[in-house]
Amino acid sequence: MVDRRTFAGRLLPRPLMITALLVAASLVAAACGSTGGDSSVGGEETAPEVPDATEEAPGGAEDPGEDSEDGGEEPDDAADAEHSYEDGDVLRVVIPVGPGGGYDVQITLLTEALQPELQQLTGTDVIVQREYMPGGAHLTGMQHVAHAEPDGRTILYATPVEGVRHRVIEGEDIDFREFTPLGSLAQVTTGYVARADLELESWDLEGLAARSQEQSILIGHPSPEPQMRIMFGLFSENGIDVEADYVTYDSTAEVGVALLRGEIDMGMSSTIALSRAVDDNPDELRFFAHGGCERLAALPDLQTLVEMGAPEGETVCSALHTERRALFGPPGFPAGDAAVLTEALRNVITDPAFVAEFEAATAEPPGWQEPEELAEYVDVLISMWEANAHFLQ
Amino acid sequence: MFDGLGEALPIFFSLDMFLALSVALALGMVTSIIPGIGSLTTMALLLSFTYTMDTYVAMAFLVTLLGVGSFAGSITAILINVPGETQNAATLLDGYPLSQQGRAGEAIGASATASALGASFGILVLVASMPLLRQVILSVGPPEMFALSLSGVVLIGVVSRGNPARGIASGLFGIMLAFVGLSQALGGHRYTFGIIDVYDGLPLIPIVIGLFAVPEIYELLRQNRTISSSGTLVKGGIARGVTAVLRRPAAVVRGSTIGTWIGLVPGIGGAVAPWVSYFVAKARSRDPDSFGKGNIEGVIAPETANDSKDGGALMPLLAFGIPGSLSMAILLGAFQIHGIVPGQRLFDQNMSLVWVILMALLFANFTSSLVGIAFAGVLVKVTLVPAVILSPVVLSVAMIGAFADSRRPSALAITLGMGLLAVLMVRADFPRPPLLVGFVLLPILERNFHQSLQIYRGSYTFLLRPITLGILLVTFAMMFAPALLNAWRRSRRPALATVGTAPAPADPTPATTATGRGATVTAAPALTSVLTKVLVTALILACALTMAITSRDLDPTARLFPLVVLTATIVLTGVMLVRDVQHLASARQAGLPLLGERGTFSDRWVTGWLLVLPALVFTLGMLVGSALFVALVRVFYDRAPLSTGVVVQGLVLASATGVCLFLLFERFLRITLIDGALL
Repeated sequence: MVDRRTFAGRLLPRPLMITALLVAASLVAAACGSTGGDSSVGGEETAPEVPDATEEAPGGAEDPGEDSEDGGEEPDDAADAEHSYEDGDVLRVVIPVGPGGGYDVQITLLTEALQPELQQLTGTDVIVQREYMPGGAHLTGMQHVAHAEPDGRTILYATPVEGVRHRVIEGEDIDFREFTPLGSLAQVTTGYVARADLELESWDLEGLAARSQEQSILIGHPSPEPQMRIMFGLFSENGIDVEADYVTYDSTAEVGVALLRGEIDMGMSSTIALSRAVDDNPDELRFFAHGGCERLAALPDLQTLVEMGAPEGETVCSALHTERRALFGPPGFPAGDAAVLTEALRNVITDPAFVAEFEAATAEPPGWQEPEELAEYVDVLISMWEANAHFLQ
Repeated sequence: MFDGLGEALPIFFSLDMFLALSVALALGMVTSIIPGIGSLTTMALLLSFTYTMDTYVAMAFLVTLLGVGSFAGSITAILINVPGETQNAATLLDGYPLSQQGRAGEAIGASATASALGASFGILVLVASMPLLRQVILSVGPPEMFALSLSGVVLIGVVSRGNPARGIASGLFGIMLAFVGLSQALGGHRYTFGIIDVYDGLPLIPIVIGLFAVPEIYELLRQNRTISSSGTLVKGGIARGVTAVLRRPAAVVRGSTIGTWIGLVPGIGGAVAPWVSYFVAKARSRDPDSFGKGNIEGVIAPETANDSKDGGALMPLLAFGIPGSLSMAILLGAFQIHGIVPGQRLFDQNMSLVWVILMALLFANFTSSLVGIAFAGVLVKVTLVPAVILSPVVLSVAMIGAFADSRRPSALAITLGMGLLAVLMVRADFPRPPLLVGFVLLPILERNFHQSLQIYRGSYTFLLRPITLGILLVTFAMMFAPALLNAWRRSRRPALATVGTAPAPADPTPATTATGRGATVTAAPALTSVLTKVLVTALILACALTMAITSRDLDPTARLFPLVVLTATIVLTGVMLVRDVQHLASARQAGLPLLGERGTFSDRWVTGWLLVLPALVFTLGMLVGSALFVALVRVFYDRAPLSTGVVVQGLVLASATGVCLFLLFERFLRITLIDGALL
């Protein structure tokens, strides 16, 4: 039997000593690392670019244009920009939701096409990797990227309106104006489906308001209840009082089933997704309205809320019923990397073959937006939400 | 009903299909057997590989991965007390005690056969009832789902052996942990204390691994023994397990029927069906007291329900596009990418695809069971591997599995924290399964409760809906059924009455009962044992009080459910604490020894070694740190004199562990592991 009663053994058991030594070593290493950050991997290339890009936020996307001297066409600018990608680099696309569902389908289609495009543009074998980071209703993934090293290797696929909601409603420290917009992939518009037996004389808003005075309209939805609260608040300010109560479901499909069960009067979700439930059950469900600013090509006969006389139409359709899903880099994203990524994204998303594939899978075409447009959209979105936040109190 | 079957058969029996399903089977078996990985990660990873496949092949490929996971998860539950998937948790109640008795082969044989037969029978039930499915699914709304999930929570309290108060306290503690994160009522955060890593709640996989794997590793190391207490295996076990199932056709039919029908309820099936099946089997058994001690029926019942529920769970997805779980959500994504729209039109226009999916599920369950039986002889030898080799490898893999789920370093802290708490729970006779089930079911319970209230505009009349009321009444009856049955049995068999009332160890996996090489065991009660009870009870009470105080800042709707649960917890644990303290005082007066059972190594020694792993991981990185940990434990843990053989063995183990982890996680699963501060 080994003698355990050594001096060190009496003082502290061996594993604890090892632990203590290793922790001490880690602390020393961490301390060295924090003082000598420039010596970390990749630091030499990215560090000098960070201050410039940060100062110009949110116009990270504007960098390519502003940096170029000849002011030529954007694709040429992007091609000229210096990027830092090298063979074997991994570009992490953080997805703030779990795998599965429409959100995932969109980004999966994109990343599968993006990798070869990026490899061709950069001349490297850079790997595009999806990383699911669900949590906190998109907040975990957003916060992760917001605080990620701006080294061109981590980007976010997000719905800015989710970040705006967290900011306006919960006061979370997330500001999409500080992210670096890279381009938009999709535009999702929401609409309303009612049970066929909903007693309404017509589909007009006055009729809905009158009906709701007898008993409030019960609206089922997968998540964006604040949008509806703001909308009905705006209606109320304009003399249309719709009394509504809300039931939250996990998915559009559940909203459809809830309508079939008779649990709710109306369902609100992606118009295209709802159309599947209506197509399957034409005798039981009918569309009430489309919330987007323009009629959908897939449902040309469906009126928009604006056409139906919804007050504050611009806010209702653009800020409350249209959400963009787009790619962003963290604040201070290197301009050269942003430029090459934007070009790769543009090439993929506007490619007819990709458009066809995307439309076949999601029933809607992709909605490309340049970084400048995206930055503008985020600005408008935030100001509209902040202006109407009082309806949520 | 059989439309499309003729078209589906040649598609299913094609060469392409055979090759794809074989690959899915192999990958599914390997990844599902690793704690923390499971079929979900594999499905998410391989989803993009299915884009270029034919639609039928792609769907069958993914369904095979799903089906394989259901059975493969039971292997780890049986062998090392870690459920591969949450739905395998009920299997460990009797599966692991069988392993400790050297009967792991019998348990795996029974689990494999029950899985294959359960899935087959479940699919038959499903096909026969297909014309009714739409109506069945539409008749189950939030009120019914609330009642069903409530029955799950109640059942687990009833099923747990030992002191019912501790079982309920454990379940309440699980529910309390599930309150952390997003409120199911309003969507806001609660009890997160500003920690962003828990904004979406405490992660499930680290909780499962901490709760079940860490205490077993701890005890194996402390007692320096093998899982099989005797260090031997009972011969002919696999065949005995297979025949045990074949001799119980009624049990298979019962479990499969329960699994299929409960499986139809989105989101609930996996968590509830195995427990209901286990409960029914125990209630109908002539020897209910043997459940939890290694009764083979305790393996058959949950596994038949577990595997038959997959067919049921597919139906809400196929008929309405409702994904009841993350795996189903991935399948839905694959549907979309291949242009398939779930719904009535799928059944009307593409019934052949539904048949192919059902056949793939059947294939997955049958072949994975066959593979399980074929390799059971090798797998069971895990129970004979010495602790200094098995424990560090399992702990390293489990830690990486816990990390891989959320990709956050905090997962390691949660795993170890929960693990050390679970060690105390085992010693204090607090059963662990209720904690897990409470944790899993609370979000479903709370969400459906609030949905029901919203639908009924704040009225509680939803409780009077016929099916809801029926489920609640049955649940209420089940709460008291064991006591009534016991009373009835005692009245019938007065001579045996005292046997039934003998106190039994509360945890189904009493890691403290086995003796091993060098173990010094004294079974007499000791002061530390009573003290541990006081400690665990006080800990739960302190958590409840802290959360109750914090609840003041929450919205009234968001705190409704927590306050009900916290009040119940505070009252229950308060009474328990008073009784435990009284017990402690009387134990001191009675002169009980300070220490009861002692292992070969002290708690300080074992705890210290467990902390070495995260220290190494954060210092040297996950790969190198884990490999080095394996070597260090092998060479230094047992304080044996150093020999060349042991050092070589340690180096070989470390190299093999490092290479396997690198290939699996970094290369195949593309998971970026933690980098160390020094490397």
